Formats: sequence, structure tokens, C-alpha cells
Amino acid sequence: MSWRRLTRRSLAVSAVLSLGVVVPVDVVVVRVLRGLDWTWGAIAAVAAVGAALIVAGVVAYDVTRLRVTRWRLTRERLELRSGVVSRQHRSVPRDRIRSVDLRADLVRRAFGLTVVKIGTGGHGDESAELTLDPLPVAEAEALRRVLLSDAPADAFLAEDPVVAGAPSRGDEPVPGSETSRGSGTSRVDEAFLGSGRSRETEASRRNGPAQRDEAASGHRPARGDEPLGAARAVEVVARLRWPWVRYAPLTVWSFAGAALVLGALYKPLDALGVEVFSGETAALVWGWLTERPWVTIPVVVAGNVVAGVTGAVLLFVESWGGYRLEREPGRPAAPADAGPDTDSSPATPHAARPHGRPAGSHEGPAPRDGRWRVRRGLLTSRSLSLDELRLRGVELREPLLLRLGGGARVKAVATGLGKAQEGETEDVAALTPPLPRAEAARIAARVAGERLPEPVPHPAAARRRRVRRALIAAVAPAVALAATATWIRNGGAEAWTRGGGPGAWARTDDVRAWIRDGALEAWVWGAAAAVLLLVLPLALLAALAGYRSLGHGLGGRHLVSRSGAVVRRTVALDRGGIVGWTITQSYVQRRAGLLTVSATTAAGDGHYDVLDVGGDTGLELAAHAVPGLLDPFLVRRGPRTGTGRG
Amino acid sequence: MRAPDAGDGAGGVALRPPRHQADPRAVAWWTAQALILAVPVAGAAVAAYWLFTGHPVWLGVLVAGFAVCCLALALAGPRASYRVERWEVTDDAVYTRKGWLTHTWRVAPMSRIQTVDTARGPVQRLFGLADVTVTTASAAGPITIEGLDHELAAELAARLTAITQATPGDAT
Repeated sequence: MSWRRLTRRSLAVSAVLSLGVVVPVDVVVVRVLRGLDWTWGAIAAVAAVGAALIVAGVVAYDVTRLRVTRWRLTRERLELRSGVVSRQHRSVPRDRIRSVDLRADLVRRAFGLTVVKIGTGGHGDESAELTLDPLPVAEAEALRRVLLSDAPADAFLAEDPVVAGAPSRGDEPVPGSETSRGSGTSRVDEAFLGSGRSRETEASRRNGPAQRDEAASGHRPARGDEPLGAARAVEVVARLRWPWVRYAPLTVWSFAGAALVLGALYKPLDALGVEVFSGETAALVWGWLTERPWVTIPVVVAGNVVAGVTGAVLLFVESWGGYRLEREPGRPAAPADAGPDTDSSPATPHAARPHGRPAGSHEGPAPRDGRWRVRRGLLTSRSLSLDELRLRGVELREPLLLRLGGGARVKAVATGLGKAQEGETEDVAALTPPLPRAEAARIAARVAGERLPEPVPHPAAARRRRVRRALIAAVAPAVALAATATWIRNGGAEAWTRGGGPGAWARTDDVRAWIRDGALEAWVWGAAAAVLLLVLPLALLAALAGYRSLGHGLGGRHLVSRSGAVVRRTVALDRGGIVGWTITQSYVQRRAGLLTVSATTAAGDGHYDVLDVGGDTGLELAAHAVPGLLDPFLVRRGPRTGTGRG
Repeated sequence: MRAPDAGDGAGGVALRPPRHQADPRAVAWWTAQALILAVPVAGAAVAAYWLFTGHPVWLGVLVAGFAVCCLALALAGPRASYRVERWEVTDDAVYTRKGWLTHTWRVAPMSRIQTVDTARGPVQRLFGLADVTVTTASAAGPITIEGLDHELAAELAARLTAITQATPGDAT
């Protein structure tokens, strides 16, 4: 099958983006030349030439890049040749493709383009991703659908006249469909923005571009493409509700707001010659602060919070505007599927399942062959599609502030998700913005495909352990400080400075007088009291919150575990995705009859722990979660022997 | 006190220890390893006391105590590990236990094993020993069975590889 190229419209995008470099460069040029007393005409000429050179350079680079970049999709593999300096040829088996990520910033959207990233698993290194930058939106959408359904490659390639033999126009990937694609593009963009629409129109709109392309290409019947979406409705599981924006400020970033704003403004101001961090401004600010501290400090704090909250809200609006979480069902059962050429009809979704899922994992009757898709972004539109087969569970995250506000967020636990991209504010695995807890629980249950059990609390020994730890953490420093204070009172410090123990700095008369007056002693006592009064209550609160978070449960398909004092995480891990157990028991846990059961998995963090669970309960939990795996290594005693073997 | 290892009356569930221990030669190897670290440290402490101080008695006692502790740990530690570290490979799973203060049991099902490696360091070779490392798809780290007789290790690796290859898929 023939190789395809990226679209030439990329050149226009590069030209526009290069203006981002041109503007600051020209600003600097103007400043410097003004300083040299050039005339405005000459300055304008130099600036224009500089701008032209930069744009030309960037476009020339992009021409080269487009020239060397080629990709193709075959029945088994996705291949990409790229690299201006060092040539690369990468080839990925299609059954390794786990996620498809579409991302289009404002400029690319204006030109109807999008960047496609294809995640192939592996442990998050960059080689696990193939990037096609950019493709026309319609082509990207079609590619996305083909890659994540088991459709044959030629269902996608059939749309392409190049395949059918139009080599004379080989430069443009989908020639001849320019006009129709134009309209298709705008429609897809509307869909990205996601104002309210019924499912039926949604499905038909989303299919629009592909169908139009088929119609435009007209060379071959679009076999196998029809079942990709037209007959099956996309289920919209969640859609942005603007009241959710109230949860946006509930992050620590709200308190660091002004610092962030200053940091963001520093560079442009610096380029314009305004020095933010100079001794002069610092002295000015300090003078203003200390003049009337009772007025200025609250003003600064309030300004900081206002800036932080505004920033958090703006960030929420940009990141989550047009948010939609949807599930696209998989291919229908074989009979509906059998097209004219059965040889190219794909394997049933079942065959594509990872083998070796333990026998217990087929309890959930619902087919797990759909695809999850998160769409979001007001300015930069992003779309992440995730094969349901690669989904190994779901996580409910409640950081402290969000928890106090009654909110939560939902994350996917999946294999083959890359690391967060540079400049990206959200976790790649994020499925929802912060939203009300009940709504988050509903979405988590829908993603998991079953009602998740309410976690069972852990034994009181786990609470005792946490409280004891908190007491030690707070009381030990306090006792040490009190002992130091006593030592100072008894003349220890004075004798020490006289004896030449510490360095010369402590042997001055000032320091000695300070010690003799009892000032040092008072400070140390004060520190001890502060530790007892501030750290101890906080540590105890954290200990109790940590205990309240602890819990575990076993659903038909998932192992649920909950923990975390500050960030409470409830993870539902697909029992079929568990690739082993690690059970640890420290000396202290052994005395308390507790242990930690850790399920290892290929997805997400690599292991998910059930912390400080009662010894018997924990082992039974592990034994039931993956039937047959742990049982041969367990010894059961007493009346319960033999029970609970599923 | 309800240690899963210990008998604990009615209704208890416990993990039984895995069947096999490391090769007895492993004790000698681990001791050699520990001594390579402990002897220089203890020696350095004694030498520093001898060369750089005025030989106060209290410091002498402290240094002597430190040196003796180092050597005692190096001699006793490997024996303790030998008693604690156990392993077992069934047709369905790999099962190991290790750790003295913190016990760690690990189980990996055969169907999820991705790679099997054996490793023999130069000193290890003198003792005729080898380690077997079993990797699964998890980022939680591989399972290592340490200090096996090298022929046994090779045999075990071959057996594991055969079983693993017989199961298709990417074991995630």
C-alpha cells in the first residue's frame, strides 16, 4: 500500500506560528535601533526583513519536514518515516495501539488541521508514541476510528484516491475532496465545541466527514466503513455543566496565584525592558509593605487569592470548555458485520482481548469492546480515545480542598497512556474535570461497567498505628526542643560557647549576652510549644483522616481500594488486569495483625495497594480477587477452612 | 499478635512459606559480599581512631563496639536471610518470600510473565551460583530468586521460558 504524506496546509500553520517568534524579535530590534537613533523607516525595513527571514526559515524547515515524513497503514502495522536530521522508520503493530490523541490549537483549528498522537504502550517513554503533525481533521477522525476498531486497514485507505491510483496528485493526501472536506472540517470543529445535541445528530455529524470523503473519492465502495459508527449511537456519559466551575479554585494553586502571574509576566516584561526583580523595585515594594503592614499585608494576600482564583477559573474554562466524555460501542456481533469480503473482516473483539485473563474475570456480562473518548478544550481542542480493552480500572481522586468542597475527579487506569505533554495542564488519564462527588461516582461506575462496592473500613489497629505515628512525629521534636531549653537554662549553651565548641560566630559578646538574657531559651521553649499546639493537632487530624480513608471492597469485576489522608484515592482495579500480588508486613504491622496487599498491574501506577488491612481479610481479599492464584499458597485453619473458595 | 506465618487459632488464614530455600553456598556468598563492605568500614574507623585522635578510652570503646557490630552484622545477616528467603515455582505461579523485619511475599502468575533472565556476577560464579529474575508487565519491579545453584537456575529459567512462550499475547 502506498505511503501517505502530511497535508501541505501545515506550511500555513508554521508561517502563522512563526509570528510568535517574529514579534518578540522585532520588539527587541526596534528597541536596540531606537537606542542607536535610527530613523523609523530604516527600523521598519530591518524589522520587516528580519520577520521575512524568520518566516521563510521556519517554512523552509517545514517543507523539508513534510518532504521526509511519510506514513502508511497496512493491515497489520502503522508505519512512519520521519526525521529531518536523522531519518527514522518506525513501525508499530496495530494490535499494540492503545490510545489515539487528537490535539488542535487555535491556529491548527483555523486551518482545519489536528495533531494525531498514537500511544502504543510501553512505560511512558517517548518512543511509545507516534506523532502525525498535522492531518486534516476529517482524515484524523477516520484514522482514529480505524485504529481503535478492528476494522481492516483498507477500510480507511479505500477512501484515499491515492491508493486507487492517482499518483499525479500524490502531494496532497486526499486530493479532490478539498471542498467537501472544508465543510466537514467546520462541522467537526463544532462537534469539538460540543454544545448540546442529541445523540442521533451527533453520530451522523461525526460520520459526516468520512462519508463525504468516501463519496468524493468514489473509486471503491467503502467496504467495512459503514459499521464504524453510522448504525451505532455514541453514548454521551458526561457533558460539561458550567456550575462545576465552582470546584476549579479548590486547588493549592489558588494560593500561589500571584506568584504564577508574576512568573508568566516576567519574560514579556523583561523583553520590554521593565525589570521586575531589581533591587530598586524590591526596596520600593518592601517600603510600601512595612509602612502600614496591617493594611498592606491583607491587601497582598487578598490580591493573591483573587489572582489565583481567577487563574484557576480561566484555566478550567480553557481546559474543560466543551468537555464531553463519550463511549463509542464496539463492532456489532459477527452476522451484522459480515461484509462482501469476509476474508478482510476483522477478528471478533473477543479474540483481541489480552489472553490469560484469569477465569474469574469474565463475570461482567457487558461486552468490553467499546472506546472511551474524552473531548475538551475551549481554544485548543483535545480528544483522547482509549480502547476499552486497555482500560484496567478507574480512579476517583479527592484532593483535600476538593474533598472539603464535596467534589472529586475521575481518572482512567489504563495501559499505554503516555506522560503528560509539555505545557499541558491536565493529566493524560483525566476523564473528568472536578465535579460533584455523586456525579463522579456515577461516571466512575459507568466507566467500570458495574456498580462499585462501598469500601469496608479497616481494623481499629490501623487507626492506632496512624495515631501513634502522628504522636511520635509531633512529640519527639517537642521533647527534644524542651530538653535543649532545659540544657540552655542550666548554663550548657553558655559553657559551650566559652569552651570554643561552636564556630567563631557564636563566640561574640552579642550572642553570649543573648544566651545569658534567656532570650534563646525563650525562643526554644516557644518552638516546643508551637510544635505541640500546631503540629500535633494537624498530625492527629491527618492520622484520623487517613484512617477514615482506608477501605477495600470486591465487586463483580473490580478490586476497590481507598486510602490517602491528603489526596484520597479510590481505585477500582479490573481483577483481570492484576498481574501478581505483593504482600508486605512490617514488624509493627505483624504485631498489630495487619498487612498491606498490593496488586501489581501493567496499567497506571504499576501497583495499587490495600494498606493496613486485617491479616485474614487481606489474604482472603486477594484470594477472591483472582481466583486460584493465591490459594495454593494459603493455609486455612479452624472452622473457616475451606470456605470462601469461589 | 496474629502473624500470618504463625499459627493463630480459629478462622485464621496465613501464607505458607514457599517450599525451597536458596543454595546453602549462598550463605557463604552473601557473607563474602557483606564482608567486602563491612571490613573496610570497620577498618577505617579503627584506623581513624588510631591515627587522628588522642586515644581517649570512651572513644576507643565506641569505635571497638562499632567495628564489632559491623562484622557481626556481616556474619549474622546472611544467615538470617537464608532462613527467611524462600521460593517456589508451581505450574501456575512463581512465589517468593523475603525480608527479615518487613516480610515480603510476591506471587506472579505464569500467564503474566514477560521475560525470564538468569544473571551470574564474577564473584557469584566462584561460588557456582546464579540469580533468576522474572519480569511481569507491572512497573512494580521484577521478582528475583537469589542464590540458586547455577545449574538449577538455568534449568528453572528454561522451564519458565518454555511455559511463558506457550502462552500467547502480551501478558498485560
